Amino acid sequence: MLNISTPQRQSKKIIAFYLFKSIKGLVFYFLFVAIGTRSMGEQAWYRIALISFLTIMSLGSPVIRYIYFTFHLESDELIIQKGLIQKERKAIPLERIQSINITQNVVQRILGIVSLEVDTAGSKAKELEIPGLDREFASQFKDLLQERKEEIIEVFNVEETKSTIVENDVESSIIESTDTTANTSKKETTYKNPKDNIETPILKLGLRDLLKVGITQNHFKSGGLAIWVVFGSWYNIKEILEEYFGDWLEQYSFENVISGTSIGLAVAAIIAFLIFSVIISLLLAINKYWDFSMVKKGDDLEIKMGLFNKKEIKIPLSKVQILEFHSNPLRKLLGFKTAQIFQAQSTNNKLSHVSIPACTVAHQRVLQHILFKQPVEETEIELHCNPWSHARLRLYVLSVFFIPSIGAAIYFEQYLAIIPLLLLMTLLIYTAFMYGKKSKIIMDVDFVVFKKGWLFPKTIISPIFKTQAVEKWRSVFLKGRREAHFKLHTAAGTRGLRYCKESQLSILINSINNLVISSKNKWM
Amino acid sequence: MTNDQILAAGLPKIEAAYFQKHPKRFLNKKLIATLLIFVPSLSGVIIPFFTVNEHPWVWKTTGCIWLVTLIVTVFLAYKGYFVRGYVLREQDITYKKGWLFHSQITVPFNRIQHTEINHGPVDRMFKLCQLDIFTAGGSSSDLSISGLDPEDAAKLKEYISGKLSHYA
Repeated sequence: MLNISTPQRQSKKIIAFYLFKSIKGLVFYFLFVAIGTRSMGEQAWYRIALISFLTIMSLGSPVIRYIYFTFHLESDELIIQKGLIQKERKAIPLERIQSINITQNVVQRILGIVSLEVDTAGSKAKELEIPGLDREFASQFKDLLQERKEEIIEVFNVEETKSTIVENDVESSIIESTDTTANTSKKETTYKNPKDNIETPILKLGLRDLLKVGITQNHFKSGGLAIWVVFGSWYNIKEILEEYFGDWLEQYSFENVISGTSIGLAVAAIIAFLIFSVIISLLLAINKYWDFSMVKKGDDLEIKMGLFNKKEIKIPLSKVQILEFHSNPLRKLLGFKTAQIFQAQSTNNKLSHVSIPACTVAHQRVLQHILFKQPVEETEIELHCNPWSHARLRLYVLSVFFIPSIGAAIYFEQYLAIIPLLLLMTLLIYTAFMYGKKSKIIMDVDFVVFKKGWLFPKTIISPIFKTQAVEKWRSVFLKGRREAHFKLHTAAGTRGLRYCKESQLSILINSINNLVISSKNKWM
Repeated sequence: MTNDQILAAGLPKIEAAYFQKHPKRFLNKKLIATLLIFVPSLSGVIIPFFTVNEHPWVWKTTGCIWLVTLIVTVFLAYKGYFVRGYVLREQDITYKKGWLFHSQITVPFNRIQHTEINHGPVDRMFKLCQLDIFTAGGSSSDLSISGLDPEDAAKLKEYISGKLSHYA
């Protein structure tokens, strides 16, 4: 068993990791110097002095950072101290810990270290990160934290039940004493078997699944990313390149490229763009979800994934607030959806949702069963929205762009251009109409289920007892139409559906609210 | 003490409840606060009136814009007062507000994290204060009931915190 009651340092390898980080920062300074000294002449010496000072500082700081970063457990609190000049001490009560994750990026991978992230939901304190631990130490540490946390919570509960018993049954002291002994014996047993740590594998993804996932990604997004990267880096390198290869680049100036373009070239460019996007989404998917596995361990869901940046995520089942299934035409063809699990959010927590690609129907059912125990039963209330209202909104939004462009087409007497504009507009309005037609809210005794979208359908399942607040929202224009938007606030964000009939919406809101009031379950 | 089972379907509807109005001086405060904002911005009209003599359209347009926004804001503040209201029931609190954009939000007491009473200088002048109710749903589901009588607000806070200790 680990003993971390005294302040501990991280693995020594972290020095190399910090060093790498500083060097990464320094590279820009060196570039700056390389360009700057050429033009500055005499005054360049000052710069070089400054830069060398910075270099020495950043090479020395990793050692200092290593020496002054310590962590330990002290009376049920995890304490991290760091900093030489600006000292910082963070303490987290163990029972507040929401999830403990182990992550590893490329550099950490090479060095053989991992970082341990401790996340506390609800509290304002930012999450803690210990960036350099040996892998074995980290996983032992994680288990230890988990165990201690569970012990503390267990003790809390026992004390609570004790006090309530004392309050209620003052007369029957005999029962009380037997009860408390029963409780203490229970406490002992829980100390001995710290929860059933049975591992049940739920989902594992092989290379074939990853290829499927990659192909069915949103290609426009990855294509856009590719273009952004190319242009972004282009402007950065351009200046340096021009200095050295100026003459050679001259012949490829923008005007020359444009004038040489023909329709054939444009088509080729579009095809290249598409292929490029597909390849990029494939690579991204493989990198992100490599060796994906999801395991249920005790009361937690453990997810591991990643090729270069490894991630291990641990989600306590009780903290899951919303389960979503996303789909698109390609995924529908291959018969799977992407599941997204939303946890209760802490302030700027990047891990607030975890996506699980390639969930077949069976997996979806298993996942839903594990997270929420009950299936969605027969619907009590079904609420549709008005598709015409969706279409009308789309018409208003689009006309802002389309009416001026149609006007411009008429002004320049390019009457043929109006036809594709009108076609595009009708198509977009039609998608909005279909979105409205296919969207609805279903409610049964335990869940609110949103079904939204036409081409990119989304199913959102939210247990009713996790609801924080319900809202009805309408603008003054909707008042006459007797329609309103529905908003469901949960600890993992707000979900809603627009343009519902107000009378039906009131029934829905009343029944959700009343179910929340009468539910005894803790939302977290 | 009774402990009857509560059936969700049997509970009353929000619509049936009577919405409590804010005190009348809240409307006055709103109107005066709007004027306070608009008076300094009037300088945007007066300065061009005296300085830009060759282009009278400058002060005319800014004056028109000023007048129109003033009328619209005063109108919205006036209209908004009459649709604003809260309902306190045994298990939840409902607040509705807004004329142009109307929202009605219901928070059950067993989901409230904590409550706060705030009052600014203008609020104090009119003997008003604001009750903020925080939930775990993030800022989107937090309620802030502005323009309450301080005594009422203290009572509301007391009542809600009494309910909260039930669930803690």
